[in-house]
Amino acid sequence: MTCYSWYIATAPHLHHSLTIDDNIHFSNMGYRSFQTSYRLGLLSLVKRLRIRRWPYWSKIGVTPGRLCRRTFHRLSALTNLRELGIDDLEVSRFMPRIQRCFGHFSPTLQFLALRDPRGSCQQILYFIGLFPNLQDLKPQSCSSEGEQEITGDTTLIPLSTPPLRGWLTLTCFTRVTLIRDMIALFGGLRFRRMDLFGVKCVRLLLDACAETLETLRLYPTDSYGEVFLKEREGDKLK
Amino acid sequence: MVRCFSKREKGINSSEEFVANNRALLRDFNLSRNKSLRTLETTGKSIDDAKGTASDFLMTVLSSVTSPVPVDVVIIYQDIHLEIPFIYPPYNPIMPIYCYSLQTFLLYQQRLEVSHKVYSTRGFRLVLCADVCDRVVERAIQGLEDFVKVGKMEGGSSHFPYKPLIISERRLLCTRKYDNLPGVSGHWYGVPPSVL
Repeated sequence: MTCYSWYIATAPHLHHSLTIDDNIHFSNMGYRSFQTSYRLGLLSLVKRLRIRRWPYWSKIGVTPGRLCRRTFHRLSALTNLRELGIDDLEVSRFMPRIQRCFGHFSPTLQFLALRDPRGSCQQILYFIGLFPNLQDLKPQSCSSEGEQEITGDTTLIPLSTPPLRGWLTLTCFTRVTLIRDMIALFGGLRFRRMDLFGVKCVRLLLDACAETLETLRLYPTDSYGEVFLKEREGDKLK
Repeated sequence: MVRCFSKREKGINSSEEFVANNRALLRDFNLSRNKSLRTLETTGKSIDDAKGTASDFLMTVLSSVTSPVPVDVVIIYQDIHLEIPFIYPPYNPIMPIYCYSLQTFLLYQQRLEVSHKVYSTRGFRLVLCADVCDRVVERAIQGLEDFVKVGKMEGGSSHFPYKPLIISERRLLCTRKYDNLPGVSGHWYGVPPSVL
């Protein structure tokens, strides 16, 4: 009886977070623990899921073939997911049926972290628009290299406009088009907190959130800040 | 809680001078349009990494703030910067607080000196935030309080007209060794440690 009480009290904490390593070489602990949690009916307790590429230097991203083959029908068991993080999501490869894979997270998801997502800006924004209750967003290492804008994409309209009133965290972010399209498609930005490092479009973001921004996290080591500081030092020397 | 902000004449002048000299930096980091800004945050680690440029950067950014509401400047300290070895077992909960190394203490003093310099630009409330795991919150808070006390005796934080506010941001410990926050991990290569 005591053990059962302990179990009931601790289970939500123990199963709060789940990380799946998308390992290209062999089946691994991440998937195994995901499968075990599914078998035991514990996935409804998971509030935070991260699909991580492993090894991290691998060039292969998360594709429908790799993700769905192993986990697709089990993802729908994550009924209370609040935070989702995916490394190298090949958004373009999931189109146009991306809603079938991730749409069931839409009622509960509040935080989305995307590390180096691959696809056009419209496709990424369509993916973000799948979650109408999204508050916090963390796109990371989004470079404009390899960005392929497809002509037909301009007709791709996000299914919803998420509130996005929480944290915007951008680190080493140079994909300015994504921010511009986000402002256009979501009718502006309303983030209250921003955490910016190595971001190319700081001015654009600060202006877009001029009315709502309450907290700003900056770093004196910011690469763009350093460039300007060096310029200033150069001016002084002249 | 009493908020103590003062706009010293000297501070305003130096602020204007600084704005004139830092137009390039202000092209990006100009906060004059952000009327509801209340908090400017940075990390202790990034202040250390930036060395001499940290105060210049913060002074320039802070000098552009025109928000009528008082601004808090928050310096975030993470576990590793507070010398809390939570990752490396065995964790010793009775390890005394005062055993911080001289190096940590000196770094802490440097960060406070940056804050003193920045304070001359615009009055603000200094907040020290311990961003640590749940189980070491009390210890981290105690450590920061000790630093403030010792710093004051050494003449450091005595330049501030008030005691820095010390707060904590609680974080749950990961339940499995490979769990971590989405978007936060040592494997996120290319991201400098001062951001993680």
